[in-house]
Amino acid sequence: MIKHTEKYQVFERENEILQHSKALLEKPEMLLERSWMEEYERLVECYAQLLGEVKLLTSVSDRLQNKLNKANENIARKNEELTQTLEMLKRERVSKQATSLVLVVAALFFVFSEIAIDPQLEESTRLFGFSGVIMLKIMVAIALKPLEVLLENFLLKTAVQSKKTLAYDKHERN
Amino acid sequence: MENFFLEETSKTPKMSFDARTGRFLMAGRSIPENAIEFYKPLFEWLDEYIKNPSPKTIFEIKLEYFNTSSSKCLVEIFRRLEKIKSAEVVINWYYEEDDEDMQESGEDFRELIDVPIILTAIPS
Repeated sequence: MIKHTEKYQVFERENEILQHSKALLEKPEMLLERSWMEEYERLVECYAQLLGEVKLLTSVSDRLQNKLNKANENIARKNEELTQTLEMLKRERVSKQATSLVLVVAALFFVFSEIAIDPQLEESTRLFGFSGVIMLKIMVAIALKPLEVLLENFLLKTAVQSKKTLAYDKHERN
Repeated sequence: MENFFLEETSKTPKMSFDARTGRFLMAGRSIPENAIEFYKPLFEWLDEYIKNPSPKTIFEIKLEYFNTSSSKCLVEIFRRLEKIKSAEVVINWYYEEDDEDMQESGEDFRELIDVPIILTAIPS
């Protein structure tokens, strides 16, 4: 950390002029009337220089602030984009997990239907006919899609919940 | 008189001041934590140089960014060059063509300093 006094050494020359002028005011007998005029002229000249420099520094400072604002806006925008991309990636991953789970369930269901339901369906064939049984199987297959959506939503909620828990734990640790 | 040379860092500019040829260069960023501490050796070098300057001093400035303290130090450098009356002094202020801020800074210095400052845009 730079000390206040060190930082303002950039105004060393201006400080010297001020101290010199203050010293003269405290002991006016040090100068003749003509010298007062010269001192005043010097002071005006230095003041004009200082005013010019203050204008320049203000202008530079304002431009730096604008640059900083733009950089901050840019960072905020990039951050928002990154959050959205991460959210999409998470959704994509959860969706894949849900699809895999539904495929496993479908496979299990297929095996189960082959063993337990098919013999019953053969009975039904006599009642509903062959096309009726096919329709029934298609309906079962279509019913798997809502199951996938339900699973996806459940997994998403679980992921969000675990993210919140992690964030809370991290916050607590800090 | 020895030349003044400093390598560029992430926060300070490259500085190459050749006393014999009068070719000066400052390039890069100038955001030192303590600008006066960084520039003081250069001020002292310039105080010596202006006593016996080269017949022509060409100061090339290729800064991409500088903080407020550095701009005050630049004023101090230019004030020293203003004192050279027996020789020619030119400041070439380079800025990237799409960097309006550096262009305007150059214009501000040109208004303030009594040394010719030539502004030149370079392709970015």
